Amino acid sequence: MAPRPSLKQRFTRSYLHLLTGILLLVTSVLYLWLATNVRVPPLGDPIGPRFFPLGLGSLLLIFSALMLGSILWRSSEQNDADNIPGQLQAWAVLMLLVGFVLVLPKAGFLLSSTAFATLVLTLIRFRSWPVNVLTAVLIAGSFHIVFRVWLGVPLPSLALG
Amino acid sequence: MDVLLNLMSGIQTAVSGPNLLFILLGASVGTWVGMLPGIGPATAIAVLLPFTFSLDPTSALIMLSGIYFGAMYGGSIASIMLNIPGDASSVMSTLDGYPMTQKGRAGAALLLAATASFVGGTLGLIGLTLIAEPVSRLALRLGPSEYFMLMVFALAATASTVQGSAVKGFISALLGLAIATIGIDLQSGSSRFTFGTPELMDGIPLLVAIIGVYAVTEVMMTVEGLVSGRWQAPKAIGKLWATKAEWLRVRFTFFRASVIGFLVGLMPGAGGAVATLLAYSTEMRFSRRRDEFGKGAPEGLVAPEAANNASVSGALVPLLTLGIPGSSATAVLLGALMMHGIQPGPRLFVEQPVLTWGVIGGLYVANIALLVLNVPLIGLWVRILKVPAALMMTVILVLAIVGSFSLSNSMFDVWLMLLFGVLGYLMRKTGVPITPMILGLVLSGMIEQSLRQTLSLSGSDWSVFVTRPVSLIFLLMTVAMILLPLVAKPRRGQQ
Repeated sequence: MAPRPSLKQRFTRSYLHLLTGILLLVTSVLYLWLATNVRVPPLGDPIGPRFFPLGLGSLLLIFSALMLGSILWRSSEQNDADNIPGQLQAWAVLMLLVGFVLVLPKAGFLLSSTAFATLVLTLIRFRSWPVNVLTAVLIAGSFHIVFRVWLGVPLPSLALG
Repeated sequence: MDVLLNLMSGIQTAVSGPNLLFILLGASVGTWVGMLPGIGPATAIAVLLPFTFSLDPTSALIMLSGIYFGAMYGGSIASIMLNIPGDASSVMSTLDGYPMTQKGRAGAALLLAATASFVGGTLGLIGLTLIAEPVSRLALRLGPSEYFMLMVFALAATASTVQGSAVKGFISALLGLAIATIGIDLQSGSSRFTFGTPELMDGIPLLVAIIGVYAVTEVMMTVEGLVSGRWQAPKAIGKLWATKAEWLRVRFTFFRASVIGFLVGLMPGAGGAVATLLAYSTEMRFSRRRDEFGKGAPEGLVAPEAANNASVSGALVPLLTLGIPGSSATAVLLGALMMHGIQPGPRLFVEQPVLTWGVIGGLYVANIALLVLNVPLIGLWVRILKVPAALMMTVILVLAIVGSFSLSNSMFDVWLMLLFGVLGYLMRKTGVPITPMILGLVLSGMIEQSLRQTLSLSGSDWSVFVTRPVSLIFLLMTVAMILLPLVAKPRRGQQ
C-alpha cells in the first residue's frame, strides 16, 4: 500500500481546491452578512428585498461548508499540481489581459491590442518576434476594420486608437 | 395549418434580404470557431456575439442560430479528426469517430456526421415547430406559484445532473442566483450589494458574465493544455464517401437517435450530453455488432450526432415558450435575446411572431445550409484545423474584450468580464460546473419575482405551493432531483 501523503503534500496537491473552497465559504459568510444589512422599506411586499438573499446566503453557506469538508476529506485524491508550467502560463495570459485592460483606455484599441497580441503570441511560443508583431498588427487592424468601420461597434479610442 | 403558414412565413423571413447571408456567415464562422478543440456552442455564440450588435433583433438571432448549428458541427469535426471534443455533448462522437479516422476513414466519418446532424436537426425542428406554440399557450395559464416551482425545478435538474458532485452543481446554481441579486431591487427600490458603485445599480450584465466564464476561461484552459502537449495535427481525411453497407447499417439509427435527442433536450438540464449518451447506449442495445462499438462502428458515430442536433431543438422549446434555458448554449442565446430587448416566455409567440417564426425558419435554413456548405467544404475545414491554436486563442481574447466593452461602452464591464474569467477558471479546475451558475444568473430575477408575487397574492401563505396541483408536481420533481444524486451515489458505491 502506498504511504499516506503528509499534510504539506496534501495541501500542495489540492491547493486550488482548498483555495476555491475557502473563497466560497468566505464569500457566502460575507454575502449573508451583507444580506442582513439590506434596507427594507416600511411598505412593500410581505417578504421584502432581504428575504431572498438571506435564503440564498444560508444555502450557499451550507453547501460551501459541505464542499470544503469534502475537499479536506479527499485531499489525497485531488491533484492540482499536475501541470504547474501550464497553469503558470494560463495565469500569465490573464496577467497580460489585465495589462491590456489597464492600458486600453490610455493607448486606445489599435496600439494596445497590437501590443497585447504580440505578447500573448510570444508567450505561447508562436513563431518569431517579427512574425508575431506582423500577426498582431493584422489581428488589431482586422478588428478595427470589421468592428469599427464595417459594423459600427464602438471600441475604446484614444491616442492612436 | 396555422403552424405550416407560420413556418412558411418564418422561412421567408429567414431567406429574405440579407438574412440568408447572415445564416450562411453564421454557419461558416460557427463551424470554424466550433472546430477549435475545447470550444463548444455556448462559447462560440458568446465570443461571436459582437458580430450581431449592429443588426436588428431578427437578423441577429437568425445569425446566432446559424452560429449555434455551425458550432455543433464544428465540434464534431474536432471530435472526429483530433479526438478532442468541443464540449460534453461531443464526447460520445469521439468513441467511434476517431477510430474511423485512425482507420483512414475520416472522410466517411465526417460525411456520416454531417448527414446525421442534418437528419437529427431537421426531425428536432419538426418537433419544435409542432409543440412550441401549444406549450406556450399552456404556459400562459401558469400562475406565479407554478412558474416559481418550474424554475426551481429547472435549476435543480441542471445542478443535480452534472457529472461528479451534485453539491458542486448546487453551489454553482446558488452562486449564479446570488450574483444576480446585485443591483437595485425593482420591487422595493433598495440597493443590494452595490457598495455605492453606480455601475452595479443595474446589476451584473448577463452577457459580460457569459463572455468571461466561457471565452476567457476556455482560453486559459487551452493555454494550459498547449504546454502539456494535448494538441496534435489532424490526420488525412481519406475518401469522402461512406460505403453502401455503412449507409444501410445506420438507416434506422438516424431516426431512433433523433427522437431520443429531442425528448431528452426538452428536459431542463439534461441537454446534449445525456441525449448522446442515451442514444449511443440504445444503439448498442439494438445493434447486432455490439463488439464493433468503440472501434469505429458507424452507428456509434451517427447516434450521438443525430441525438445532439435533435436535442438543440428540444432545448429551444422551454427557452422560447417559457423563457427557461435548458442548456448553457440556450442560456447564452437567452442573454442575446435580452440584449436585443426581447424577453422570451409564453407571450413571445403572441407578441413577436415574426421574430419567433423567423428564428425557427432560420434554424431550418441553417440546417440545410450546413449540409450544403459543409459536405463539399470538409477538406477546407480540416485544413483550417491546422491554424495554430495560439493564434485563435489570441483572437478570442481580443473578441472577448471587444464584446464586453461594446455592450455599454464601459471599461467596468471589461473588468467584470475578467473577474468572471478567473471565477470560471477556478470553477473548471475544481470541477464546479459552469452551466448551473449561468442558469442561476438568468433565472434569479424571475424566481425572486414570482416568489414574491405568490406570497403577496396568498397573503404570505406558503401552503400555496402544495395546494396548487401543478406547483405540487414541480415541487415533488424538484425534491426528487435533489434526492436522486444522494440515493444514486451509495447504490453506485455498493455496485
